[in-house]
Amino acid sequence: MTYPDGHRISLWRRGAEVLKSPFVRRRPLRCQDLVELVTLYLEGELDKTTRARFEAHLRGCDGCAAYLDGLRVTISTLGTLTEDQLDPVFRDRLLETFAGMAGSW
Amino acid sequence: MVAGTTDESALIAALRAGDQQAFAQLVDAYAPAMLRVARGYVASLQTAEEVVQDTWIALIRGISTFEARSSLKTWLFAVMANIAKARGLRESRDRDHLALTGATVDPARFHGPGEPGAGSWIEAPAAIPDTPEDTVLGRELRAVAQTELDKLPEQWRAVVTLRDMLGFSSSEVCDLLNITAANQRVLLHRGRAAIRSSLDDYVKCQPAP
Repeated sequence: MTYPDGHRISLWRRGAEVLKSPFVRRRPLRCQDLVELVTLYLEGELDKTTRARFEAHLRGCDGCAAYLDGLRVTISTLGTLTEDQLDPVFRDRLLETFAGMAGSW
Repeated sequence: MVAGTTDESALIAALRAGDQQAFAQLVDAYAPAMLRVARGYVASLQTAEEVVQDTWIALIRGISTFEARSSLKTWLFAVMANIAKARGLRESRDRDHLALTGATVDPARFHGPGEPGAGSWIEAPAAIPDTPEDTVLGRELRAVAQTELDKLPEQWRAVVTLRDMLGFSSSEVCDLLNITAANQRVLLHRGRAAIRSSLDDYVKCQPAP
């Protein structure tokens, strides 16, 4: 994978590693950088300078603001998911285990 | 999902008394997520079910002496992690590196090298409406998120389930899954992004209100 300015970046060491590129350090953050940094941002793990660059980009970019808002909604949606039902055969097995052991202690 | 903050002493007392209904309630609250996470530890569904079953047996055996230093949720997942580890985890090479290469968001969505605005969105991402759970759209978005979660690679799914569905902290998840902080973050990052992308596709296909 290469950056839009033609510089190669390593394939899976993304996130914080994006910032280690001297080319990224010297220019404003782009949308394509920002989508790699959102998790660090949400986890509060960006250093102060990068956080300021991130937020400066966000203020001027509706697309990235929508991306981040949508990610926040995604996370809150995941928090409301209730699990599917267990496979009934497996569920019965667990309940029978309890029935068989209850009172034995 | 069930919050770990409610007072569990009544539930623990009911389990000690052999209350079937209390046990069933606990199984329904946590066993599906446990199975989901167990699939990230071991290779087959059958082994995952055995790991989950052994965890419940450990709970039943230990309930008479269970001390509420941790919540039942934390206890169950920690014990399950130990049981899975004792059975031998999968090779970490498979777990950690699989499908973590490449960009988080399809590079085709950004202006390419040499174009004006290189690296910026060609078309802005869709706004995902923050919809109350009990509306039609809210239910649909949850269904889409659930379907996409089920499709994620197992390690991604385990991390997203533990963090975003069950509310475990990043350091708890590292301990439970035996992964580094950096891997935990990358797996979470990729998992959330994949689900966000499926919601994006869904919202774009909706007729304008």
